Amino acid sequence: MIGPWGATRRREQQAEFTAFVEAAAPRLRRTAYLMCRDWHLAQDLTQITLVRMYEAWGRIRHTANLEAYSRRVLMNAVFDQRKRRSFGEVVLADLPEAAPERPGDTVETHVALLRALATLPVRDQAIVVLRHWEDLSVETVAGILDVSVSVVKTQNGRALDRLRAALGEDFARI
Amino acid sequence: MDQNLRVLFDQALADEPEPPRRNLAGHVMAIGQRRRRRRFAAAGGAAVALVAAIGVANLLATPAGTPPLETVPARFESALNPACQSPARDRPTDVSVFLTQDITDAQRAALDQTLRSDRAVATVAYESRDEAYLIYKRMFSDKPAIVASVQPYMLPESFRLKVDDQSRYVELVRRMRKTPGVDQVIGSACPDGVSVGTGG
Repeated sequence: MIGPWGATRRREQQAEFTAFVEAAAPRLRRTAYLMCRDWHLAQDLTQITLVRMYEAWGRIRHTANLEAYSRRVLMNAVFDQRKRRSFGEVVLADLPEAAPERPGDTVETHVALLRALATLPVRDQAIVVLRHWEDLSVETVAGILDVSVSVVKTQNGRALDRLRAALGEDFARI
Repeated sequence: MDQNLRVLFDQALADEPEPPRRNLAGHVMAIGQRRRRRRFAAAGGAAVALVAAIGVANLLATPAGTPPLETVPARFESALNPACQSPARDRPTDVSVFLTQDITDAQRAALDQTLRSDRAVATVAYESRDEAYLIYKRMFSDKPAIVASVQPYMLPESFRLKVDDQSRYVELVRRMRKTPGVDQVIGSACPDGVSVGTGG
């Protein structure tokens, strides 16, 4: 909760939050995109993440690792959105469908990667993106996803195996 | 492998469009402040919804002596427990199955049997019109005019379920909607230890 701020303190915290948004938003948006493959949705998820952080700003602003914290909030927003989508037929009807695949496109390797990634369980997708795009340590990823280090290691290994199997030789060529 | 993945991810991000908002921070702060104000106003909002629903109840009651064909909207009924979010935006814990006005005894019994043997359902509680009315009276014990405007027959019967298996929720609701005698099905997200049918 933001709590009663004095005017000066409020301005100070707002400036601080603005600086945080400017620094964090582009990367959050890209991470979100790799999770959902839809730039509009990625923007929405980023915004949801930032609103949640703003609401807790008074409490979290001195958190040692705000970056990791923001990834945690983002991934929770991604997980929520997936669940909502599966319940969507019942309670919600306003979520966009994933962009239709255009037939006739030559499938480039990075496209194939995102498609293969999308077939993994959502938590494994998060592990792969956080580990291999965000370049975060196993320990940090474990903290973000609230699972043990060994779960991150095992699931990461399995996920990479599955991606390799899906992409075949394309991995070796790069 | 790691290096390859990183390169591929970068390629996948190459077609990134311009972010739509120049001042994202300002926009986010405005939303945050609005939501904060809304939370403070939430109690007031619930009261407004109630008055609207009572309006419906009054309309239904007007034709002298003839019972209405439809019950008070289930939307209002399910709002009886303000501790729960109805309809649930995600992770529904409770499901209210509201029955039609003309449900037969055989249909009700069959539905009861189906629900009790459903693996997605943890507990089943039947709520009669009279029970719904008692909860309603308790809710508005300080507003006798509101209580006086509603009779038990205007409130729908329902089955209140606790959902055990989230993954089977969508399927469960779909099946319920096709079941004869079922009017509306509403999922609610209730905090631990709270049921949607207990009136808060």
